[in-house]
Amino acid sequence: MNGFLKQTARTLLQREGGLKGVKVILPNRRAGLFFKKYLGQLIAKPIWMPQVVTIEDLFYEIARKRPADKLRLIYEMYQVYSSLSQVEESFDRFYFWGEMILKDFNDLDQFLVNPEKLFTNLKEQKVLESDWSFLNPEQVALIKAFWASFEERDQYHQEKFLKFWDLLFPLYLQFNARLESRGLAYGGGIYREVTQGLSDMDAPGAHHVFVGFNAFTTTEEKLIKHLISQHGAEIFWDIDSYYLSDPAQEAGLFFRDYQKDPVFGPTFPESIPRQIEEKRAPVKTYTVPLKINQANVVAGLLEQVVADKENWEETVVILPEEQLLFPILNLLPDKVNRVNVTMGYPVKQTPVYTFLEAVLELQRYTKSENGEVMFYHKPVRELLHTVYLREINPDFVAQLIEELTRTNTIYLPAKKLVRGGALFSLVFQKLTSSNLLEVVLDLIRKLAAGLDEQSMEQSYLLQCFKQMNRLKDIFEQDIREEVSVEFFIRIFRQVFGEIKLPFQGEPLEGLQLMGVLESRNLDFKRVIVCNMNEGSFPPSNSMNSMVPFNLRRAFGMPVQEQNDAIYAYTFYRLLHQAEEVHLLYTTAGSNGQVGEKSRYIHQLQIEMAHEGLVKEDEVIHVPVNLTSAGPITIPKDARIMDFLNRYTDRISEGQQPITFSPSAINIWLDCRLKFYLTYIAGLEVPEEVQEEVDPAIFGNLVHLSLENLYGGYLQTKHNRRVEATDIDRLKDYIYPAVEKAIFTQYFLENKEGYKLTGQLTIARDVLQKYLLGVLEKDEAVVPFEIISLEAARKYKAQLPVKTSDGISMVSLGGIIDRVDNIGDSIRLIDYKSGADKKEFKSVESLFDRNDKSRNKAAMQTFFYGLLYEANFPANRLPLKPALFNLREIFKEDFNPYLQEVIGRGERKEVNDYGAYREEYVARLKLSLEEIFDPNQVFDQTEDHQKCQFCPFSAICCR
Amino acid sequence: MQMTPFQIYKSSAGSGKTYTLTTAYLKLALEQPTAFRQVLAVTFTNKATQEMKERIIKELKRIKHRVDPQQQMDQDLLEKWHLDPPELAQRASGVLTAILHDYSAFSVSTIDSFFQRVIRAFAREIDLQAKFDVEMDLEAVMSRLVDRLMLRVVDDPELHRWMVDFSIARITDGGSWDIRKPIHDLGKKMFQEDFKNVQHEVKAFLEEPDMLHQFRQQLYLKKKLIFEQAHAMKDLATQIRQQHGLNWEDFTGGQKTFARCFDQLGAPLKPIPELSDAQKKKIGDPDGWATKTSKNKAAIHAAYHDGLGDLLAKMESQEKEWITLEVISKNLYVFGLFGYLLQELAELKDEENLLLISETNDFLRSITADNEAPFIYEKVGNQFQHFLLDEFQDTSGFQWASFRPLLINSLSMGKKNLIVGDVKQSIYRWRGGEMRLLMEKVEQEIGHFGVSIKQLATNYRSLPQVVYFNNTLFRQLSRLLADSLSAKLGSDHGETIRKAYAEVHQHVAPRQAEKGISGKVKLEFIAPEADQSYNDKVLGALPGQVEQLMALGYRLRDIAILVRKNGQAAEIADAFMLHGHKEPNQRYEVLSDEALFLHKSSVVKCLLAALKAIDDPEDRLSERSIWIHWARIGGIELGSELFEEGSMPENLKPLRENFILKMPLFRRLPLMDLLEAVVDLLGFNEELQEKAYLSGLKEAFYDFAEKNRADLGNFLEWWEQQGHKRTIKLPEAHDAIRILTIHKSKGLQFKVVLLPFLDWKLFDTAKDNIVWARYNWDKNHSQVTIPLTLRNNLLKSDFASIFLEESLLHHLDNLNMLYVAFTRAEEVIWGMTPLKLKEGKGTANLSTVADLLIQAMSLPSVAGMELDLPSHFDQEKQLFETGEWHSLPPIKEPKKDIQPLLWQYRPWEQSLQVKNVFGSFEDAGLFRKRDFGLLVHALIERSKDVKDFMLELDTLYFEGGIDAKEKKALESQFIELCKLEKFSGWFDGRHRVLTEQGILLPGGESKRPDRLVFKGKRVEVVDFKTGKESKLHSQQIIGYVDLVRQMEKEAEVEGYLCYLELGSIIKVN
Ligand code: SF4
Repeated sequence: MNGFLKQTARTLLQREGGLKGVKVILPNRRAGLFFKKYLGQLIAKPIWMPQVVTIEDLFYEIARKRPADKLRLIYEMYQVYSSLSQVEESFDRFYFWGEMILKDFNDLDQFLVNPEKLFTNLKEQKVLESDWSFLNPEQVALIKAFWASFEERDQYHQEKFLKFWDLLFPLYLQFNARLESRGLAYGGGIYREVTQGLSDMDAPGAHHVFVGFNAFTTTEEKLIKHLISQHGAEIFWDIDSYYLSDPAQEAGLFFRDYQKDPVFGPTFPESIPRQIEEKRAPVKTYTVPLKINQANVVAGLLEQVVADKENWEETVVILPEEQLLFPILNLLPDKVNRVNVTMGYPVKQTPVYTFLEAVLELQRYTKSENGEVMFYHKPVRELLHTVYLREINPDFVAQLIEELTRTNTIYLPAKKLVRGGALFSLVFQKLTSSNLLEVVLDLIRKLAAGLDEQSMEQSYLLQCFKQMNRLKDIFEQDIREEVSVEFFIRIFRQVFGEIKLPFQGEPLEGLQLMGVLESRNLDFKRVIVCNMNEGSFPPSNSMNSMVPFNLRRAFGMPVQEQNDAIYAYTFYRLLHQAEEVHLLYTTAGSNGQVGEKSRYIHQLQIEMAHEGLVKEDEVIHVPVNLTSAGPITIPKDARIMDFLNRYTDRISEGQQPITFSPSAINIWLDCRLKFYLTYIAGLEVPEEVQEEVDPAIFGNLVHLSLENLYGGYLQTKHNRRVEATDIDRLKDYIYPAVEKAIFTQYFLENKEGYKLTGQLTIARDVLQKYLLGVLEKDEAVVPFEIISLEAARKYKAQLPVKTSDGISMVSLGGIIDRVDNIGDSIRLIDYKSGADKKEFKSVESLFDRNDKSRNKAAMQTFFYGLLYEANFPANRLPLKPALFNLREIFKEDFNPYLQEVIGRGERKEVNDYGAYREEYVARLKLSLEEIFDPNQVFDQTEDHQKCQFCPFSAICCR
Repeated sequence: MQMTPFQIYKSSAGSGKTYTLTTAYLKLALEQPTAFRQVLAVTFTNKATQEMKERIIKELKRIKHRVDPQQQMDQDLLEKWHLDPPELAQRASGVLTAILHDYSAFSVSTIDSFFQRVIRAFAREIDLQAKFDVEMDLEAVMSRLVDRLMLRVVDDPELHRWMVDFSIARITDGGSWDIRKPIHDLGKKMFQEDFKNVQHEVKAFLEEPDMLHQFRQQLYLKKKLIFEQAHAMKDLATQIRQQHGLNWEDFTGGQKTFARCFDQLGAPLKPIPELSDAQKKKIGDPDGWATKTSKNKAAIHAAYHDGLGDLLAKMESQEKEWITLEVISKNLYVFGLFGYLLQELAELKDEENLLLISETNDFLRSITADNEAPFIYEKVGNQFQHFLLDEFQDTSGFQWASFRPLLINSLSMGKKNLIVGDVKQSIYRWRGGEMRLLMEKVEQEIGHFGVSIKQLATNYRSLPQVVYFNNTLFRQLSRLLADSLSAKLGSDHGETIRKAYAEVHQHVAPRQAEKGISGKVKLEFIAPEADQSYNDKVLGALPGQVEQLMALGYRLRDIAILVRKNGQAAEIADAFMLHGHKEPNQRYEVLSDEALFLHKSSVVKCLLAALKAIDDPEDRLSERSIWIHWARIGGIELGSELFEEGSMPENLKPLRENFILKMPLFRRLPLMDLLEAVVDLLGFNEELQEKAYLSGLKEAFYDFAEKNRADLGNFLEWWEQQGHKRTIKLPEAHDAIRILTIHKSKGLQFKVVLLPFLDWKLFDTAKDNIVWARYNWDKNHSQVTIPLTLRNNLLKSDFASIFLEESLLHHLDNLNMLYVAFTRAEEVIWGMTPLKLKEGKGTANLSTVADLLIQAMSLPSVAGMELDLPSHFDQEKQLFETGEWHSLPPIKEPKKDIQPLLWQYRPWEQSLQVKNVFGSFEDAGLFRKRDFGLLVHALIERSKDVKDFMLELDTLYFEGGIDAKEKKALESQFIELCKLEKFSGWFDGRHRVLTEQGILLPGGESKRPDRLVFKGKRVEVVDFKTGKESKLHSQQIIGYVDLVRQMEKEAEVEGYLCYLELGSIIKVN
């Protein structure tokens, strides 16, 4: 290929005297690399290499100055600003404004704007005085128009604007003065200084050749013109008549001006190249549903379109969105054997970086309690999960996580966490803006210590280290401002967001992947451009400036128009030598935007007319069919049957016996597969720290507190009778009963210093209220005698059930919340905190799995009847199942007893389990028989409602 | 100055709204090539924005190539400037070029994005921070607020007490004690426009110390008073009854007598019983108190006059007061928290530097109200003179308030502006849409500029029968509803409906009439069946309907299924999938933004399980789930070995072992690489049907990593909260059935529209809608503005008028929804609606759209209606049909080459390595000795003279390579070296020095001696070294000397080696 740089190299080599003492200035370093490569290809014996620099280098070299770090500059500006402005503004808040102002100062210097004029307040002064003659009438009109908009009555926002505006000129002056006195500089300032010193500039030692430029800033223009007219410098233009000679094409905007310029004009070639028209490269456009699928298309193109023996370096993939780099790199076809990437590896994607970020973010969730530092459980947990902490001390981490989960700890004290070792002590401490940097540096050093010296992680840690060092230095020496941790995180993100690790390898070989601007001056045979979307290429309108648009225009500072022209040129330039062009855009939006295809595609499709240009976008399809989630059924094989025998007297040797609880029966009735997964497969549902007190925990607390209440009280008493006077005394026990329940629930050993979380403090007060409600209801039925309370006793029973091996004795068991004797009956009480009902249709309905309103609670309390009878065969009193549904406890007509629905609106209270026994046991046996029936498979429920809260719903695809 | 009237286009469905807008745009843009820069066209959605842009470009392209005087658009344009076709074509060409090359100024945008631009321009003036992020997900913001509030409870006793009271109040009402949900639900109302309207009053009230407490106290006292009164009334009633020797059963009604209400007085939750209509009739009607035959007639009469009659009358007014107190109390607790929530919100925004999307309108209103338009334009950088606003019926009051100053500015300069909208299609009231603007307010507010209203009355979209049907149906329905509302709510309410639908009648476009086909409308009224719900029945019927349509030649993409709720879309998508599995030759693909959730895919589930297992090795369930899903995807039978702890099918064991083995490795990978590696390990890069879902998951990672801290734990949490809402995206051109909500269908059209769920409520009071109302609670205090839940009981409270207004608007919303749904079709409408068995006739029974539809079926037509609905209604089959089916000619899809995609993972490290960064750590200092030497070397080789060196040193320092201490050390080492005479001779600046002067060898290789010093005829070639002396060094320098000799034939060349740490210089020859 005979690209622009190669042609330029050839031309220069043909000059007499060779390239010694020649300085070639290119728009970016990459173009420089290629330029040197081409030189090497064209010579037959060694030669002195010309100097190859960028234009920035050139300015800095002449000025013998370099810009200082941005953070430092903004801080210096802040100092000036603070002294000028009457309003207090923290450095945190100022920083991003400062960034914008610095950019504006850069612009106005680079474009040689007179700051005094620019920042004049012309609100009062309607007429421009004579010394504005350096502006043309059009510019003056723009300025007048701007200030005319202030003509109306004084407005609040305008006031604010002016206040700030009036500050800018003094800010500019004092900022510059301050930098000067400290020996610092910023880019724009250096540029301005160089141009101001042109008349006194020594003759340069080298012959300057400018190659491949498009748009100059005013300062650049001045310097280059000086070098041309005074020292015979040259310019090589990388242009094409397609856009140059058509005034509508914004890509040629600058060139057309330069062509007319007396100094630049003569540097243009006599005949402008017409490569785009002559090449007539085929162009295809693809519309891709997702951003990420562009990688698949690119890979497909490379696989298919590029012949095997191709010179890969003649193919380029342009990535306007850097983030797409890795998706593409990870999908390259095998035949791509070499790759060259200009962009570098973003440190911010690495786990080490995210770890550091997480460490800093942890700081946002700390609090101090009695002088002790506490951390919020979520970020702590995330950190413990990272490989960096876990691998150092796996046992400690595992144990800590277990404890966290078990005790539902919301805040952890630092002293507990630091026991993990040195790294833990570093991570889990309270950072202040004064020790923060030192700690992070330390952390990086510690992390690196364990790594292989050659590893990539080591490399990016080092990179981080360097940056942190710099930050530390600035913060320590220059910025004596208290900054918030939040601000620091923001700066941290900003600084690290930009760090890239260069890739190894010969830059000039293999498939080329690069960003838009890096493609300047390079020519490729095959061009693939991704993200041909408005907002990406060209990038979205981001002219953030403190200087209003029309003033920028009037003073010749760049506005959107110039920006657009620059990008248009980079796009069309890619077509100069291309023989094949593939443009991909995506319809997937981000940030609420829809993917809109780039204006360049419109331009090509409408304006370019040749055979190979396909005018319709090809739509990319991705297969979409879903795998069907077939039913899951588990047949009962011998192993499972053997397992089931553990419930019976046929239990095999050495096995642990188990019993059916009422909830096991309920689960069986709800869903047979769920029964299998829970009781036989033994799939454990992972526990999580529930910051909230969820219904299950709340239910537990209810049980525990009630048990504590009566249990504790009865212990102090010699009999189990409860009288009216007891109730009064019991009320005093409410508080400790609840308190104890909470400590038991969360396995809290020492109560001192423990502070409940917000939700729990509410739960506690509510529980107390509940308990009081229960006592009030009990008070209405005194006296009664408590027979048993839940934990004190596990009731057991056996039931003969038909199985395939004949009759087996099946074990049943359960815990009854409370059994008491009131009047002539025994009450079997279950406490409920949910919305359980007391009505049920019939005993049959309790076992009818198709009945959507099957009353599980009733099934359960009847079960207690069965258990009670088995344990007290001598009992002759009627057994009365009761549900203490706490949600109803405050109702005046609270009635805890089960109600059988008989006919419309009529209910019959269940006064004795005995009356239902026969049918209940028969039905229960049927269910148990079903469980033991080898032909009854474990299958899924048909009622998808039941899957909603089932932990296995993901497995079942329900 | 000549006035240009403000133009309002009222455009019914299908009336060529886009066409009208495009024409209007072109009329402005074609004035001269850059005129388009001054036009701002505002659309409702981003999608519409894009379509509008494409449309304008398309028309310009068309006109540029051929002007078609038959077209209305071209006619209008030709007439406007009295051009002939070639002239117009030329103008179009010029404008097209101008737009394409100044595309940034091509301003078609949504209100939001335009407003955001303005806000960014004013950020400093309105005290926003620079670089704020716009937060769209208000739901997530609300969750964070509630979390913050719960943390705050611990340290704020006041708040704690309030929350406990709230919780207890809820359980006393039989609710759950957990109050986070109600706080969340009501709290998020503060993002809505209705709240913004009253927020200052609310804030002022809540910020006043003790005010809330007093208010609550007041409510409590008032309630208590009612209780006391109720008890007194009850006692009095009983006393009177007994005095007359009566039992309540003696009164009319016997066992179920109306007089029971006296007994119910003072009940704990409801001290004043709610009187039925029949009971109310008894007020002031003593004759109705006893049956004619009653032997107690006289006694009852006497009791009535002794006070029972008055008591009953009093009950009615007491009831009103009681209910008023009740509805206020319902939201009292959350209302009390609003102050806290607003505080937390302010802090949150400040900490995270957010601008909520819901605030843009607030800010904007303050900007446009406080500034003159020219200043705004100057700040924004765009001078707009013309505004074209689309979908105006959905514009909110705030948006209008923000726009109005700009519009007025433009109108007063005599510029052209227009709005387009249709009250009948206003369905975004829940987002603040204010249809009254279009209906009347705009005219009132800027009528003084002159207003020209045009009706667009021709329907270009639909075939004749479809138009006739809709004309008739909506005439009938609007009358029906208007009558019903007039009866229920008062006549002016019905009037609003009538007004909104006054111009519902449309003409058939000639183009449609000429086609010679009628179009088809079919409505099935489906009676309930015992064993099948309406939903199941409809879902079962859909595939059959599609099949029927396909047989007629419709393609899948011609068919749209419109639903009311997102959930229904998902149900339908599932139903089609299930059907496809059962009947593989009737596999119909669907496309829906609402339904195709990523998490429905087994591949996605499998991957997420794997990621969870990697993140948390204790999570056994997830680890097991991987293999279950994997087996399912691979068509492997799901047997017990897959589920039981400790077992695993043989054929899965190696894969699983491999996975477990790699887990530690995976944890060290960056997020995106991690996903790729897992995908690859599990074999999902192979042939796979679910690639769209897999891609969707990758895209989720991609988007996540861009904005968030990209580690696995963080991702999984995000997925839990947000990610699961993601759906797959398919290209528009995909041949699949569209399933979308009616809301999203606005502005779209389809050949066939299926409406399976015509069953929604006309006024759904179960949805907890909130209205803000003022209440006089105490004569010493000003009114309080409180949130009320929109429920039927409001009607019986002091807030009845609010209820009535809301009721009307809801009815209108839902009628509009029906209108939008029915007017999307070009050729076929096929609807299904449930039929109630107990059919209630008459206006009183209009509660769902199904009621509306069935009643319309029996309304006789009146003059001007094209269709007689009853005559097309088959009573027997409960089926309405009109028009004919027609078959479409088969369409030949042109065969296109398809670009194949590649799915093959090759970790990027295999093709590329990261360069090792120079330097290393050391515990004590920063650089090791050797590296320190390297550093000096690097600095020296870049420096021509002493000054250069210092400069380079500065650069290194600014780049963060060294700190100040190290800088000092390097400096002094250099100064030390300068004490060597030879050395300082190289740096004194007296000779020409080339540093890093490369020597290029043929082929591109290059050599680079550190330093060339030209001393007259002599050239000294210098290389700086660290470490010990070495032979290799000498050989290298000899090589350099050779090369230099080749190029500098005349010169005398000498080579030097300088050892930096040793401080020695050796001459080599
Ligand atoms: S998800 Fe549904 S089918 Fe699966 S186990 Fe749970 S309840 Fe049964």
